[in-house]
Amino acid sequence: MSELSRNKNGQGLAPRLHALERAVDASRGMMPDEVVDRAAGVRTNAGERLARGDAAVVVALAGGTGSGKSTLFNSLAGDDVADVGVRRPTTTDPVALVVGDIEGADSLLDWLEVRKRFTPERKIGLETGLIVLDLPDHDSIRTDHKETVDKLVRRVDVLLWVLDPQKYAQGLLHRGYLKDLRQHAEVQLVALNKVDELVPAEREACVTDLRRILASEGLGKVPIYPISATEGTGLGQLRSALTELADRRTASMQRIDGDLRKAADDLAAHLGLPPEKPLDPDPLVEVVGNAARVDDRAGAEAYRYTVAARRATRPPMLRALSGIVRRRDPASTFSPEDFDPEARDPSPVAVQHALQELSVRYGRGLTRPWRSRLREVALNASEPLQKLTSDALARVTATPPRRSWWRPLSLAWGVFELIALIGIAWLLVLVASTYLGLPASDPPSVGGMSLPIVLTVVGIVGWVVTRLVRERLIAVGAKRYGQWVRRAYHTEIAEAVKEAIAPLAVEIAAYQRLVEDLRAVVG
Amino acid sequence: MDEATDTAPLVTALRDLRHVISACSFSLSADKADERRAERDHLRREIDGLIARISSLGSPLLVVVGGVTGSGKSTIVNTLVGRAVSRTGVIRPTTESPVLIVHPVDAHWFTDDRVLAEFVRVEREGRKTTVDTDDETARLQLIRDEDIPLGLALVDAPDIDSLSVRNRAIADALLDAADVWLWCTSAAKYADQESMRYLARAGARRTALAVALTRVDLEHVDELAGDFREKLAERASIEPELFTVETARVIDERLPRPAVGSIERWLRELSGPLVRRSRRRQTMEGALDIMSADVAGLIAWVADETGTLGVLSDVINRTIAQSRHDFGNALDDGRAMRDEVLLRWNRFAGTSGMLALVERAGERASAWARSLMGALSGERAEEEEQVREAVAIDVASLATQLLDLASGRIVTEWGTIPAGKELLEANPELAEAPPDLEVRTRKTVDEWQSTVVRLVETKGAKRRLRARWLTAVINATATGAIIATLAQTGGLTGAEAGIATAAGAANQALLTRVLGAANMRWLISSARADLERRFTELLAVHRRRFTEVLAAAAPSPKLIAQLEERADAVQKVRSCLN
Ligand SMILES: Nc1nc2c(ncn2[C@@H]2O[C@H](COP(=O)(O)OP(=O)(O)OP(=O)(O)O)[C@@H](O)[C@H]2O)c(=O)[nH]1
Ligand SMILES: Nc1nc2c(ncn2[C@@H]2O[C@H](COP(=O)(O)OP(=O)(O)O)[C@@H](O)[C@H]2O)c(=O)[nH]1
Ligand SMILES: [Mg+2]
Ligand SMILES: [Mg+2]
Repeated sequence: MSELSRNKNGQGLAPRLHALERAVDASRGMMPDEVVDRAAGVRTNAGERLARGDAAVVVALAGGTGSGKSTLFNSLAGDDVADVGVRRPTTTDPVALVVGDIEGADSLLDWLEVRKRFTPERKIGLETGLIVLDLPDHDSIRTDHKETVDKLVRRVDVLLWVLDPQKYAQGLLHRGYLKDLRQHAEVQLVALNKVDELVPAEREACVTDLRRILASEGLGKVPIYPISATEGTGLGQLRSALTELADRRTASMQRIDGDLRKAADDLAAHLGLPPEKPLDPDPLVEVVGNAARVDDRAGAEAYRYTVAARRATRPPMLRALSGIVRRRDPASTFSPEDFDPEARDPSPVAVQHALQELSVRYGRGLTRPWRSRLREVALNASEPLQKLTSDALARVTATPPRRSWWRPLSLAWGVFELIALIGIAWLLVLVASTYLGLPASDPPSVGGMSLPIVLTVVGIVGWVVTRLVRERLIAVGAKRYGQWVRRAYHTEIAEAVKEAIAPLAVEIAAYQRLVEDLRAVVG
Repeated sequence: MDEATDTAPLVTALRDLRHVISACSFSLSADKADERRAERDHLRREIDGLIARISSLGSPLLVVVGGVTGSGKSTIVNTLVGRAVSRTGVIRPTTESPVLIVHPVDAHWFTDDRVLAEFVRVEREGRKTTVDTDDETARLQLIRDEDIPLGLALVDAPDIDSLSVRNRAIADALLDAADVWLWCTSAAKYADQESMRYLARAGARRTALAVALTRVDLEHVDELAGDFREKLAERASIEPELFTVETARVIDERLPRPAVGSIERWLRELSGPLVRRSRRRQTMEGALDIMSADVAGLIAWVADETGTLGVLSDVINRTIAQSRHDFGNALDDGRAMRDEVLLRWNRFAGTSGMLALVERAGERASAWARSLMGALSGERAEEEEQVREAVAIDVASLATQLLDLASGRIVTEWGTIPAGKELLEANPELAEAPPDLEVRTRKTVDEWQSTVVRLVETKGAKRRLRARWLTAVINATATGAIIATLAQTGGLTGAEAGIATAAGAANQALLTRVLGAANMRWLISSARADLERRFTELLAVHRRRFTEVLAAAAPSPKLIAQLEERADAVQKVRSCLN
């Protein structure tokens, strides 16, 4: 309330009204139409009411037929202005009692469509600025009366419910009106009329029962004035309550404040829990990656690397030989070229399913229409995602890199091969010359060993070690390269996924925005 | 009692009608369900009342004092009885459980449950009784009083317009069972819409009734009575006996006796055997007259539900058909199986000596072939197992995904239809995948693979000598056929479509050599047809989850005919009342 008084002209309400407007737009189609329409009506009414200033406070006397609204109205006016009758219902057109010369009163009453207006000439014990309306009933066979009431109940600043001992517990009154005005406790008053018909103990019992019912509806704060409109009992207190309202001038804004809180509550009731985390595309990237067989492809690339590396690091002699030795049957070799490019794209079913899963995961706490919307948006992303993934896959151009160590290794291997060959050849020569009895000088020895043996041993050991090192290096290289390929695909697919599910992210952001807006509407 | 035998067919017809009416659950009526069920319950109670009265035609006339809260119903009843039998007061509403006052001689009609069976009897002589109302079942206080004319039972009913929903339900039950209404409304409430609705309903069914306008100031008696009469004629199309009860001081919860003098006289007249009979008959005939129209109302709603049923099952059928189509497409585009599986198999088929094995299988199985087979079988079995496992995983996950998508689609579309939404809310498990889905799809795929093996056996057996036919070759051929079926694109085999051409040849060669080209094509198309049939079965199981929920909620197809027939049957035998 302090906030309201700070913003006496209703500026404090402007952002809340804007938030409501956005919330209404975002909720349209996602919630029952009546709920959204009602919220939209609140927005319109509030704008129109605010435009008419706070010089006047409009109090409407509402209640069932025969509860004494018109009688009370006349008592307040100090004159027989409204028709009072014994036949039910009596009042059809609302009547206004305009206290004092109020700026903008006519415009306000035009807006309220109240044509019968009365301004008392003499002082009547009410504050200038007060406009009191006598309404028709809401419960008689004249359903047009109810229509008039329903419209005015939404527009006036303050509701003074005129009840009587026969009707205070009416189902229609409580279920049709008071139940929905829980947020408006500050702008409602209740007068229990016709207490002259009750003895004091009965009056007490009645007021207590009424208090109990109101409290059960969250309206415990609403004051109850036991009155008799015909005999004037209790009217003094009621007048001062009305005067105080007119004095404060905040009623119109308090009313709007209540309307806004109610609208926000109503809309929020049709809103589930927002998703906690921001949209996380990773699981989808994983699924699309699997569907696109990224791992297979990475494996194939690693294999290609292995083949290329093996080929490049063959020792020169083996290489020369390989031209002669026949390769095996082509069908027997796992060849990366066997992948048909068409077949690489993920299957539409897998993609659709993954998208549906994603929408289910994010829709968990939401209400059905939003869940459906998310699903629809997600599945609509299916075709773009397939297209984008296909492009993304094509962007990855993987060729097994040539490594700088291939050549040196190949050379080293060749050198060992050569050393071994020289050693073996030397030994053979030595053996042959010994056999033929040719004179031969002892081969030079190194560290006590004959050089040809040393050469042979070094050559063979070196050859084997180099081979082992090569296998190890190729394995590591293939693994690294495979991982790189996998990452490259994943990066590209992640881009594609992000782009494809952007509409889903937009929906979720819109939802979160709505939640925030509703919080802003409450103020 | 010969009356009972005469009326037996009518009672039977009414019971039958009641039975089919009970079958109208209106579970597909969404937001209209409450209203429709209320109307159905009304009708059912009316039939109960009719049956009760027909089977005990001699029972006292049930006069229910009903109306709005605070109109002085209890005060009037107290005044008529001459003592405070029902509580009155300024707290609205006061009366919560009905009070039935009857002459001690007639009391036996009400001590068992021939009449007003749904009420628990509470018998307490003496003054006021407090009955705790926490209990769900309504209680009826039974009071014996010699001042009540013989042949009548007077019931003080709870109100129909206060906050208490329970009071209204009890009042409805009493009014539906009543022979005669005494409707009470006050000078402040006589034009209330709620009250007038009840009177209009009574008017439409020609229920015997009188109306009391209570709490009228002496000076306004004529004016208000005139105004009320006009409104009754205009709004409820009735011209009932109208009593005006002038407002007076209430002492000891009673009005001065003269205030209700006219009502007392009316009650005495009612109690005369002839009047009693005619009033009871009037209400019964009225109820029977309108019954066909009421049943027609129910029929219209059932027809409306049948329409909703059509829309909801249409969603199911369309989705299921779509899924079947999607499955076919997924098989056609050759992505039902990882390419790698195909490649691996083809490599294996081409290099493992399998071809040689097959070549030799036709000849006498030499020792050499056997030994080769033995050497190969370990590797072969392992490879086949892996390939089949890979295929099973792929095909099962395709099927599971399609079934999941189908559920998602049905749930979404049902969600846009109010009745569908209600079904989903009542059966939240529909939105979740069934727990055994994956197991079932996997089992289906495994069974399909076994079927392919059997197909190969029968075809192969015809072509080759059975004795020489080796299990190993059957299995290898079956695996080849499974692969070939899934590698088909748009009806072409993988090799024809150019998928993995180099390697596809090996599998192709294997199959052709074992089976011959024509048999191979036959085998592949049979395998494909079998797979689709199995998926259709899976879909059918999936579909049943929804159709069963729907069927449980939907009206039976025969319901409308039954309602018509039984309503007619009632009209045919009703003449026995005369
Ligand atoms: N002054 C006056 N009071 C009356 C008259 N009739 C009833 N009352 C009072 O009105 C109040 C309500 O009367 P009840 O008899 O309890 O009304 P009811 O119709 O039974 O009300 P529910 O039980 O709530 O449906 C009581 O306090 C009565 O004393 C009347 O003619 N004149
Ligand atoms: N006893 C008594 N009667 C009243 C009181 N207020 C109104 N009435 C009567 O109740 C009836 C209906 O009054 P009216 O003002 O027309 O009710 P409205 O329909 O709410 O406008 C009239 O006959 C009034 O005289 C009151 O405080 N005490
Ligand atoms: Mg009036
Ligand atoms: Mg009562």
